Amino acid sequence: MSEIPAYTTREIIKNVEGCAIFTVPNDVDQSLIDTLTAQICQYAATHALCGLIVDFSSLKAANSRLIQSLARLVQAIELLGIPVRLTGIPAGIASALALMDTDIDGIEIRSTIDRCLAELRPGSAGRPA
Amino acid sequence: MDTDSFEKYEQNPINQLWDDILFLPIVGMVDSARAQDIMDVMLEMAERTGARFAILDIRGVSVVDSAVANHIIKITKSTRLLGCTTILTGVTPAVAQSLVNLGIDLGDIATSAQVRDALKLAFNELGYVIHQQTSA
Repeated sequence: MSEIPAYTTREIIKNVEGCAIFTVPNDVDQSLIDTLTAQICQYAATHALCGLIVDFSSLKAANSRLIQSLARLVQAIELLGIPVRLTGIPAGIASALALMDTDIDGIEIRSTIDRCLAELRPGSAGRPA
Repeated sequence: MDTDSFEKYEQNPINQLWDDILFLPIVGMVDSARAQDIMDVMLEMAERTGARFAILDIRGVSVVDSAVANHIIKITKSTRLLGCTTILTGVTPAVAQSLVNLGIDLGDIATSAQVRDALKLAFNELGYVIHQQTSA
């Protein structure tokens, strides 16, 4: 059994003006994502967040199962009443996921972190002031 | 750019039509290999430009059957993963009828008959307003 790398919440989540940015580590696997999901949910429940941005730009490879796990993370955070945006999915991974028919319906994806922030920050279009 | 990439872009001439809007007219047959090339050029361009919309014009596609429709669905899904929404345009009455008769569900893919309508839709979503200048 492979050992799960230790990540502290400080390492994986940045807080930008009340918006949490979670950068998916490039060595993420199924076991790690389960651990991270618990940490991020805990973080979301204990901070007044206007949104969570999941940034995939460090990711080198992904399979359908991993993306489904990340989709469950998104659902869990949304159940806490926090809007979520995904960004930074590399073109190669996007192509592979589309060919595998990965279900991503209902998940909001934006091309850059700036666009996510622009939508999620309080007072921006579509968000309460 | 290597020879393969050059050929891909030559056969699938994608352009940045406006800020945040890509345009790709498809002419000829679309088989699995061609669909993969189209997906590659669209994803490369969407990643490079950060475009929010891609207009895919299929008016020049000779046959649109269930296989081609499935390729198009996969292309739109892949660009969506980069935050780029694909608008399918050039849907002729015959193609529309054929898709319905084949029972193909394009899901939530935005479609239009004319490129002009697709561009209007993208402008609207991006908050662009076109004004005609009045002459003095």
